[in-house]
Amino acid sequence: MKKFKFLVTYGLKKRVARKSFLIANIVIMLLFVAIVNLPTIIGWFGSDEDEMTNVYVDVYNETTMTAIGADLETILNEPFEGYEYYVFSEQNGTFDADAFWEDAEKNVVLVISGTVSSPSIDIYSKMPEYNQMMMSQLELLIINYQIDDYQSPTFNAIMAPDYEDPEEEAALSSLMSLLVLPLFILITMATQFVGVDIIEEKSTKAIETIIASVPAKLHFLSKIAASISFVLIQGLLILVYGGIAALVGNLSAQSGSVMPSGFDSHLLLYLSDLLPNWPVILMISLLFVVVGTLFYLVIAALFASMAVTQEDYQQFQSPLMLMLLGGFYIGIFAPLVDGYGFMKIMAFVPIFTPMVAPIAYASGIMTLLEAIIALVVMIGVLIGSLYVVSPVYKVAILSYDQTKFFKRVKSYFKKAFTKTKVTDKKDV
Amino acid sequence: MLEVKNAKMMYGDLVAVDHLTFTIKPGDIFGLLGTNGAGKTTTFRMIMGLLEPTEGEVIYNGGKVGYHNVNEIGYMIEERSLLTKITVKELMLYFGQLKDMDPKLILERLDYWLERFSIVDYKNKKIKELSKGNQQKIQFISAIINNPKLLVLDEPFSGLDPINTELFVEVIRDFQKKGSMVVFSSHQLDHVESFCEEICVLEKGKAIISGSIDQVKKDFKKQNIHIVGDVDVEVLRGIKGVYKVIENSNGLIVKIENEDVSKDVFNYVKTCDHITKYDVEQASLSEIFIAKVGQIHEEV
Repeated sequence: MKKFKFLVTYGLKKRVARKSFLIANIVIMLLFVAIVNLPTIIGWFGSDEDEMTNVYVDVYNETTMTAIGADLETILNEPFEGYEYYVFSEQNGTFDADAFWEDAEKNVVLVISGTVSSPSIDIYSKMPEYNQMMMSQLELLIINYQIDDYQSPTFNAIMAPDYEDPEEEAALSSLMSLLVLPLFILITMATQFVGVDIIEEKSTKAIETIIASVPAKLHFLSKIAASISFVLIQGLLILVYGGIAALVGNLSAQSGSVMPSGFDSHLLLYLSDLLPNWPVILMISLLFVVVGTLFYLVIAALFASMAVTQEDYQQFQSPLMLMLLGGFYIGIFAPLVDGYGFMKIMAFVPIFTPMVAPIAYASGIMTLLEAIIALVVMIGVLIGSLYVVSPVYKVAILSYDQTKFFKRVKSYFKKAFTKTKVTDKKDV
Repeated sequence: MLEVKNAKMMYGDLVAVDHLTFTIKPGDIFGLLGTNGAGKTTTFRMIMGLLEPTEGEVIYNGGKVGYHNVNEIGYMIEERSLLTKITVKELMLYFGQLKDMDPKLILERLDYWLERFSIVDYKNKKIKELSKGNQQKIQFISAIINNPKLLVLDEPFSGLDPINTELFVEVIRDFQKKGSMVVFSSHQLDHVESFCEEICVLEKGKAIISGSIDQVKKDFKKQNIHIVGDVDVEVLRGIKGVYKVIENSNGLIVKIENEDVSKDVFNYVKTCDHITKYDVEQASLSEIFIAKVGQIHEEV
């Protein structure tokens, strides 16, 4: 136990007490501040939205305020600051909501009913982002009709049954980046570290001196433990960077930055509104990170033990890195192309689970129960891989066999699972 | 005491070590010799418990070598096995703590050994910055930093100049005096001969020579006679039992089949003039090695 503790501490110190760790963390922190405050940064450079949008509004007016539609058109189109031009048309007859939702040309319908003193306005809108502006202007106009009996109108905003809030989509997309990026960075870093650490000891032959002093299994587990401790420390730091990024966002908002329409001061505040269950999401994501990273570490350690040189290891680990990259892209792009079904399936494939499942759960593609099932599957695969990899590692770590990869793998597995005589020193 | 009892090690169909038996007692220096691929490193790995023999056993102080007694063993492998990106001090702290040593004690002993090997200035230098010989010294120090009771050295003199070789020999002798068991391999047979009591020569995994050096030489029977004086080489060559006569600047070396032949040679030499040297010597270890290994190769 003493040697295990020493090896873990040694491995961790080797990673953390380095200039490269400090530099990497400064870069990660800056990256986080930039991503979280991306809307603010975009705002500094102005908006690209310079095209005029026509908003077609039909008015069904059942009250005596006959000129209200024309007045509203005048007010909304003056002083012409925005990039929308409102085209109002008065309609007679009864409003047919179903026909409106299917009509591609019309954007908004105002159904004004009730009395002057107690008006009621139904807003059927395919562009709800303009509702607030119309409501405030309508309220001001109606005051003119009410003279001395002021009564606030009752507004009822009705969205299309299949309406999806573009802001919410943008926010979810940002969420994908915010969640997937650190997951990817953490797992990649840990995988690289454990592999490089092992192959460094093996390629210099120092491994023989080390394995003469500690059991191969203990060496293997200590490398995994050191790397996962590193991931937890780095993960914690990333959370701190998230906090710093939020703080920077708040400060920039207070200083009166120009924001593009539809964005909050910074994404984190917006996302906390969007995902009120964020503590559960965070906890589930952390569990996936830990279990998923452990799985990748076990595989990376196996590859490193089978490699003889650094170059060997770089070749062996390429498929692993591609799998990680695959998970990264699935996590980011599957929701954007409505590939929810595909994403859900991938969330249960262990090699992709650590990257995909947290996103699938956070974006509502997976239920909590499904996420827990994916986690249990992942834990099962991890335990299974530990059971398989540990004896193979014992065989491979002291071998300098340079035959072709698959031949080598076959030979190590054969030796490990026939009655092994290699590195079978008793750990008393 | 270290006992290798009838140990056999197979890699698939290949017999790397074939029923090897020897014993090393406290204070013994044991030389394991052999050509490349003879099975020396495999034997060392079996001694260290890194490989378990396919047959037979290795007993250290009455039990198996395990991680419970590894702290009293020092092991130096044939090739450089150092982490080259760290400093000498960091390396010793790493390897020493793997043997449960206290960091303070490691540094104390490191200072002593660096002083003794005249490389004090390299304490905070990275291993990769050191010369091959100095790296060898560091590797040797890493094997002895825990004051081992059993010292396993695979080619310890490889890459060393004569002065440093002598330094290593001195240190090994110091461990011998303290009662440590030393087992080592070397291609430099003159060193083996100079300070080993017991040897074992491996060829293709089999022990072809085994026992004390004196006994091995006696058993070999062939002897050398060093003669300086006016003798007729052709007459010497004609004596039955003389199989080779070598002329060099220091005189003649007459190689004879056995001790009895020396009488015939002497009977001739005493008839010659100006004889200043007549010395009967046992065959050198190197000769025995070449003769025995060559014999095996001829048989194959």
